[in-house]
Amino acid sequence: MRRGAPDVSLQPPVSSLRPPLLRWNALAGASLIGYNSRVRRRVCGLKLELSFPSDPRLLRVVRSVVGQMAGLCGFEEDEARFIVVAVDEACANIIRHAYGGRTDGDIRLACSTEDDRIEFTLTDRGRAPQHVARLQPRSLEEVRPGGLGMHLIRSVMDEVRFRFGEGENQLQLTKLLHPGRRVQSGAIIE
Amino acid sequence: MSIQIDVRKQEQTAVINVVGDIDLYSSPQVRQTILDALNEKSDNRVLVNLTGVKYIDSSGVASLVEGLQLARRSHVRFALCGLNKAPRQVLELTRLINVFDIFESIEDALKA
Repeated sequence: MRRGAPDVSLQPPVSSLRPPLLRWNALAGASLIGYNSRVRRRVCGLKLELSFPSDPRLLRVVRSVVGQMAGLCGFEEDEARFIVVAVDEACANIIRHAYGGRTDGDIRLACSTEDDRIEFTLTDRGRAPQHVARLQPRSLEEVRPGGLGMHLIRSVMDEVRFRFGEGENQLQLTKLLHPGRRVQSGAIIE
Repeated sequence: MSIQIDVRKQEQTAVINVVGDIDLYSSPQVRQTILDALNEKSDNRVLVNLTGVKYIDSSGVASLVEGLQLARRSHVRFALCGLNKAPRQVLELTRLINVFDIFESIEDALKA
């Protein structure tokens, strides 16, 4: 990957389905809307990978892509918005903690949609967390800044898995699709 | 669109108008503006107008919490107004929605 200036490289999905035009519009045109409410048709079996440097200016692009993918998978607007928050927080954690604010680290985001879920795998080659406690959400009883990102991730996602080793850190986030239900403040409501 | 921030004085209140996403990139600018307004100590109240904010992440929320804490120490009133749905949901998710004084609009906040 070219270092220095922000660079987003996109790989086409490995799918027999013809990719919806909207997705390509969103990606190629870098439309910055977080979610397109006109999209309601579910599209499963999509795979998409983004590689980008750990530059926080690119987070808005990542949010746009994540919102579009969640919409294609069939998540309602509120749910898609929560998913965007979780993935954005995960990327921000990588930039802040794994790369210590460096803007030239490599981040890979792989996203796949299945019948009942959407999965995101974030991979970086930065510092691994020194303490497992850093991966746990802090208590919210105390009103203080900081430490809220992991709480947001765990509140939104159904599965959160970490894997460290071979110079790579990997975070897998899974959100299950619950037709007819919606998510509010992390709780699924009938 | 990058973030836009301006501060206006209105009825002994520093009104901080923020337009754009508050995320890891932009939150340091928001944080500094809030802290500067509070440290100036020439106003009785600091009001952060979030009408133009469609997205806020945990670093943005942390900036607001830091402002609230400094305001309490400085005996200055600190409030938010114009919360859109997404920022409100994030504050709810972090259970901080009831920690802040929140108003619908600048006018409502100034009347309070």
